[in-house]
Amino acid sequence: MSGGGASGGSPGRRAPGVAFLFLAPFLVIYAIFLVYPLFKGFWISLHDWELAGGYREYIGFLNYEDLWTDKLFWRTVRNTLYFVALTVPTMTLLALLLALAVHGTGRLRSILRSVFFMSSVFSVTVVTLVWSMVLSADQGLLVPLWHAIGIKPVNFLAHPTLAMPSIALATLWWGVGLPMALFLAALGQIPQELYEAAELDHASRWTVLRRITLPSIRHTLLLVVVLQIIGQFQIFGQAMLMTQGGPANKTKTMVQYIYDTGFRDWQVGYASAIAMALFLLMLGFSMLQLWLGRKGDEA
Amino acid sequence: MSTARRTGSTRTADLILLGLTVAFAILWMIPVVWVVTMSLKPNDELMRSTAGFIPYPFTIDNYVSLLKLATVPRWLMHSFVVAISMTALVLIVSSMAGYAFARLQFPFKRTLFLIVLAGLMVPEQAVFIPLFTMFADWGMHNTHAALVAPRLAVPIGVFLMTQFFRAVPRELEEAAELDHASHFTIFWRIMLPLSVPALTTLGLFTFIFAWNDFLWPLVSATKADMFTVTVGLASIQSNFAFSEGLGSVMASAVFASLPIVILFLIFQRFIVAGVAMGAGK
Amino acid sequence: MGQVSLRSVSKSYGSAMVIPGVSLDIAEGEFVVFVGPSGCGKSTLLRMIAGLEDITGGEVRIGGKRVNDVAARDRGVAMVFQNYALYPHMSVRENMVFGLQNLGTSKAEIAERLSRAVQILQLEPYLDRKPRALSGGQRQRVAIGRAIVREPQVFLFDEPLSNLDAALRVQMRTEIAKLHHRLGATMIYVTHDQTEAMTMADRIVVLRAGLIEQVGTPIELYERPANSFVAGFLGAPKINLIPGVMTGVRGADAAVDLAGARVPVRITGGAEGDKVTLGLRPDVLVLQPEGPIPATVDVVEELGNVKLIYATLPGGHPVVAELRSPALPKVGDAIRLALGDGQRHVFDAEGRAITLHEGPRA
Repeated sequence: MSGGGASGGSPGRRAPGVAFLFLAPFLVIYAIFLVYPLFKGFWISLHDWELAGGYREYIGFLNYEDLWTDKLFWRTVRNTLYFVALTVPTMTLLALLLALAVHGTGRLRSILRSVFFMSSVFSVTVVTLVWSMVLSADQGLLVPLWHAIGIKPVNFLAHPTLAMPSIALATLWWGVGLPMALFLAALGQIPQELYEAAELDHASRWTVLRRITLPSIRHTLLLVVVLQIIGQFQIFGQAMLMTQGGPANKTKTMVQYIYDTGFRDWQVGYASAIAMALFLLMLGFSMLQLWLGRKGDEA
Repeated sequence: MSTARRTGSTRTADLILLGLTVAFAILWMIPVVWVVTMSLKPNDELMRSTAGFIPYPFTIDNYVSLLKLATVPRWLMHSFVVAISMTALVLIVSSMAGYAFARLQFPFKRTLFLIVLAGLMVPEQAVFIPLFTMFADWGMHNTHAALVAPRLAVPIGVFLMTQFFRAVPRELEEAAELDHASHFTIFWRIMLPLSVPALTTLGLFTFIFAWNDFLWPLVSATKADMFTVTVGLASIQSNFAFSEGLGSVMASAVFASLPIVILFLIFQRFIVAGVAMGAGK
Repeated sequence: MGQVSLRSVSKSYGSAMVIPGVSLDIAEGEFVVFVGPSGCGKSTLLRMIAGLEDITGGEVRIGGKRVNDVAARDRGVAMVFQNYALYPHMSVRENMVFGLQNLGTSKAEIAERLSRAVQILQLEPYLDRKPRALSGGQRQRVAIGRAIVREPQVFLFDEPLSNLDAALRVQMRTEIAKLHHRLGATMIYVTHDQTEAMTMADRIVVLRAGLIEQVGTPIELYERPANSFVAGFLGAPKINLIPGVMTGVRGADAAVDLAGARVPVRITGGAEGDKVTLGLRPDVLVLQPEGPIPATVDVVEELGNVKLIYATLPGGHPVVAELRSPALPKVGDAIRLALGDGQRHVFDAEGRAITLHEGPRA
């Protein structure tokens, strides 16, 4: 009844000039610091571009051709995918379990929520410092435990197969807060009446979880997975600070490779090409997730 | 909840579940407690053993020497300047743009909004190299402005504020319009006061993000006396010499986290509420 | 100052025409009610007068001045919204003076106008409360108070009572009527509730699908509806509209066949055999043992002073009769109805009234 359609609005609100005044600060910043760099990044990737000395030469897609045959690049892709595969499912599951456990009223649950969220407010350097210490082979938190059962302490971060899972563990501890909060928010929006009706229908706890709770938070689940994929693909700080990519490049991630190539070897042209590859990979995966999610909705 | 109708076995199961969660929470906090403990022990004691959760022998020397060192307080100062100015600017810029997108009419509105939303898909790694060259050309690295400016282009704030303003009943604005309020008055006197919860949440997340920002400050702030505390700690960590001793390193970690933890404890109730708001649609 | 005139005002959203064209003159100090079913365009029309909605075609004049391109804030109108639209973060006082502050009115003047409005609406005890600490009725009063302090040329009300419970609605209805009497300002009031329209209006404008069906005083509309829609919309319980065929047309005299009974009517036109609709208000039907119209009782409603009988005619058509007799039939009873005093409305196949009214127009 009360408009608001395409030609809605009023003589007073039809003021493009005012609107652009409100928009200008953000749009200017957005154009300069996001849109332009994105294109410039692609432009740089078409060059042999050295950070020091100012050497730059247009070479077309040569950087991308080099990438294709770069063994180290593919290793970092594999490492990154491995890390994503380690963290995304476990993080999502842990966040969901914690949310279910701490959801509800009462002081204790509120404290528990804070505890699990609090580790998210630390910076990556603090998190890695804490976990490097915890996992350290000579000063670590677990060392007395190893001594007690008489095993030689394991050097997790220097271990070829355990290093990446160790980084994933630290990441889990660091990052579970936000997805948990997302799940808590979703749980809070399920109408209480649904649970009351289910109780009157003699539904068991398991049935309620499977038939009411999980379907109700389906969209949040998808959101969490997509956010996690986007976030975990960007793994950098943890690996760089805990293992420096080692042992033997076993934990070298794509972003670390970008950083090393660009800011240690000064080859920003090649580094930009890797960055574009990472961008496309992330875009592809989140599109795939959204598409799968939508298909799930239709089914 | 109709707990009265619940059977005894369900209640027992509830209690067991809660107990397990509490145990897990304690386990969760152990690393933090341990680090705090170490920061309160003398360095030579830590050389001998790092075990135990009781700071005995007890000392605050690590913190005292930290403050004497001047670098860490300086890094903290940089972190504060960067985090506070980034938070303030993000709030201003996002709420203004959000209001325009939510409530004003102008040409190409949908297109512009889609372009802004598309920015959510761009990771910082795709732009930090060109940004680095840009700031290098301008000779602006190792400044606060360089640490703040690129972070204002993140569209999530605009997105959240647009979502929030869209949910404000339109009649409020219409009433204000009939009350002779200009667009600026409507924004300043009606919309902003109404969005205090949303602004708090956005501000909180921005502050935490700014405080913990790592990759960009790592490449932009290259001089040790321009480090933020996050980058500074990384520099101590990566040359794992721990020249000041383990206790001092732990003290600096605690020290660096203190402001953010305090902020979190004060404002924590806004976090879940804010997440609910942002994920609403 | 406060006269409002609409000249072929139309509104469309893209290709969807919501209001094809409305022309209407509202005199200064008049209380006009726009009434109609949801979606009839009454709120849109009001919002176009307020300046909250673009005018696609035609023109709106307030106080003689064309305001099509004047912003809402400069039209000299105040509006009371259905959901009150009080600023939740401001106290009652701040809510009421916000508009005057924006106008730059002097402090003394604001204080004076505020105290006058507060006194009229008895808001004194609530001045420093926030809207959420008020009841629905109090909020409604504040919303009205906010309009009063502005001293507008025209008050606009957009279904202001629909969020209140029934008892409060009746009370606020009389308060708004009193307020109109006291202020003497032009008021335009939108509602879907025919009782509000009947009880408050100087003139009622009945709208359907963006077109005016009829304009007139409540009594005019009730007694001489221009068509079956207006007849059906005003009056409770609803008028009985029974299809029939016209017979025995002789000048202004004719009859309509009703369940085998011939109902004599007076008409302004029409021919033998025309399909017509007979309109009988429920109080025209009376219970009579020898009455010509047979019916079967479905539901009996006791309302105290009157009783409503819902019955079905032999053709399957439902009717309502409003009775005052103490003796009541029971559900399932076969009864006989007759026609008492009162207008027998006749509408042609298009629904237009062809009733011949005796005497001068009311």
